[in-house]
Amino acid sequence: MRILGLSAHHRDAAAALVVDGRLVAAAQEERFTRRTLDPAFPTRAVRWCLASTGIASSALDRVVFYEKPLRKFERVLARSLQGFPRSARSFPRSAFLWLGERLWIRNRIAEEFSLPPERVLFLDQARSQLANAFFTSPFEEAALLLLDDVCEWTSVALGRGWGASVELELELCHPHSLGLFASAITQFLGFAPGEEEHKLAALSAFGEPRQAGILGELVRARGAFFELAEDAFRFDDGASRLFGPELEARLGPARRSGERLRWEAGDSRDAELAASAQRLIEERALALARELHRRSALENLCLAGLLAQNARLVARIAEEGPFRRIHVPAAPGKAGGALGAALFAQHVLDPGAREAPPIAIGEEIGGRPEEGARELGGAPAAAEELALRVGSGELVGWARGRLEFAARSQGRRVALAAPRPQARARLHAALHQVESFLPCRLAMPAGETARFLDLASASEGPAELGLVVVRAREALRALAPDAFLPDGRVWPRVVREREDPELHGLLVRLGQENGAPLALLADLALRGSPLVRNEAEAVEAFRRSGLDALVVESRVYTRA
Amino acid sequence: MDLTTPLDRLRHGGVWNDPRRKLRTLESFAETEEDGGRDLLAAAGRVVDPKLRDHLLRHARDEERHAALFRKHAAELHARLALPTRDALEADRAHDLSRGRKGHEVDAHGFFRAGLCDELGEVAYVAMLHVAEQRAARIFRVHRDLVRDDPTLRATFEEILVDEKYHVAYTQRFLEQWSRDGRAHEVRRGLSAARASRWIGAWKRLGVRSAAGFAQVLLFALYWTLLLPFGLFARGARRGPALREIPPDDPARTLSRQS
Repeated sequence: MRILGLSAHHRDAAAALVVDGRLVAAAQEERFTRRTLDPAFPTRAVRWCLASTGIASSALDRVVFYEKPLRKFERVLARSLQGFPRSARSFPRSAFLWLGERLWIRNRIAEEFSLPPERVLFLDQARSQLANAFFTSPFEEAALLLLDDVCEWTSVALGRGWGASVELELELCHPHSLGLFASAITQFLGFAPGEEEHKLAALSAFGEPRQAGILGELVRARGAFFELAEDAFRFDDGASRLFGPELEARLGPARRSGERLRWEAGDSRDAELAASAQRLIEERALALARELHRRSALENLCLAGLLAQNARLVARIAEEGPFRRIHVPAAPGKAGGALGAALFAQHVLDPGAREAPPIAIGEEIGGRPEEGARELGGAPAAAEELALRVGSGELVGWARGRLEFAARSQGRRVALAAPRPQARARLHAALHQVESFLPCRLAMPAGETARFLDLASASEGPAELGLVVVRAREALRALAPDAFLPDGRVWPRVVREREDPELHGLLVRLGQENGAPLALLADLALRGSPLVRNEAEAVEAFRRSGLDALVVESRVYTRA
Repeated sequence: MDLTTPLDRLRHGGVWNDPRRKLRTLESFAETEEDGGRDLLAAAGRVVDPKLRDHLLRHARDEERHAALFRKHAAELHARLALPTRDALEADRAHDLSRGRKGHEVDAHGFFRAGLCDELGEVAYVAMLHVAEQRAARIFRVHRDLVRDDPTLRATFEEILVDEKYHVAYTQRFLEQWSRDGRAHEVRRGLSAARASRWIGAWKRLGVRSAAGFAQVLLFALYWTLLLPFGLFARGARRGPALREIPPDDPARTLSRQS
């Protein structure tokens, strides 16, 4: 059975193709259009999925869209009415879009792929995202927690997955949303909401949560759940600011983009606000996790949604939560919904054995050599070149194999640096990142975690995908001082040999030569751009970057 | 008297004053150039004349470079502005880049196996390129003049205009050569079709935009008339509970044709 999952129209549109129960191709639209988190209908991602597998669109048995548009329209309409007359400007725009196109998505899909409309199915977003979390996990049974900004109505969902089933038990609805709260504070701090929530989490490490009390009044606990003070926020469709004047009245004026960020000693208002918001999100999420555990009595947790990408939140749930093991999918947000929808449909329509899908399932780097390429003569020579350059302190881009279907590259489109003093700042500067508070992942072989990390068992899974921050042992400080966050944690990417022998081999080799099997890791992408997809894009990014060299498969590019 | 340049100036005048529009315009230029580059590559693989192939390949590389330049400006602006992800209303571009091609026509990289060259034929394709490049050069000249206060972007437009001049010139040479070789009728037809399709395209776009504007005015009126009582009622009405228990459901029903 050939099933295509699609997600679109919110953020990070994607397509995933499952054939006879196996994921054979998946891609995010942003990688083709080069627009970060592109929400447009994933025409190009679909075309690549079909072309790379040689499947004609008319041969698809089902196309599953990751949300129920009618339910979402119901929310848009209801919220417009409830927001009367404030919604006067946004209503015509959103109603036009919905009535003009979104509601007829079935026809668009059928027409686009030359399929009869009855082959187009819909699954609600919460299930799609949770199915992505559960079916990519190693668990036979798990409690499921969705912490999103908003789906159709759902912002938080509690459920259970077992065998081939994903069931929801409880949902908390819009506008009461931790994800939207995080987005509102992200925007308040002058960052892009829906896109740069990771900056809120990173900034929080540098401040004391002095405003947690004020924010706590806006996100009030209700037993294990919570309720947002609606007057302080503007979460209606089409609203350009997610917060209202009340938030500014309580916290002072919002930071405008481009203004100085206040995060250093002496004036750390922005870091304090980030820390307060982060603390609040963690506490509310932790209460939800405990409630879920109480209801399910399960040991395993699968986490999905916008906030599942918050590495500090995952750490808190792993360390203080009741679950023994946690799984966060590599693409935990809307993009992952495409994969979840396809896998859910597969298990309903043609049940079979479950198989954890691979992450590196996108486009091969392939391509022809670009100008300035030097052939190294094979993979061993490329590994040698890479180890020598990284070991000697160079900043090196590395692109190889298939692109990952993930929020961040796990190792196939990365920039590497030896973890020397100032290496993090140099790596960020080379990739045009300007926020010096942003951390870098620290890659290390799985066999070395006991030496370097105080790793809770629940953090082991997320640490393999670089989705959690972890307390580091003092032994690490001398070897990788620049990877440390102010609270003594690092952001590890634990590499298993069987999962990525090349990256594992590089780390082991660095260890043999320098005594530290470690490397700082960043996405091979310039600020504001998605991950590079192919050799031409990698070379283009390299030329514009400050990296010292780029290794693509068995070719190296260096500065003239 | 050619009114198109003043009209273009009027039409594009506001683009560079609004950072959001500026960003979208740069992104859209990048996409258009990149798409053009792909079609040119596809065309280069199909033409027989080795000289034309060389020109098309160089042209394709130029388009790729232009796309990279525009993308670089867009990325810098994006980073400076911290704009949010395009909202739902901006999600789908007005002009679908698929251009109506179906999935089975794509090549291994997900792009078009059948380039425009296959659809139009060699002469008509070069005629289309010639008309498109003339227009692009005119538009880019307008934009260059409009970005006087941004020297780096202006320099980018200057650089691109040098290439556009070459693109117009080589296509012109081939069209003239074909005309001398007895294919003048084919060339004239190609040029007329290319110019007509531009006008028809512009007319269609105008229709779509007018209809969209009209529909939004209607919806705005609807909001203050038909929806007004419902809106007032909804403001005062008690909200349903935010927390909902979800009864067990049949997965086959959950996954349904109902949207």
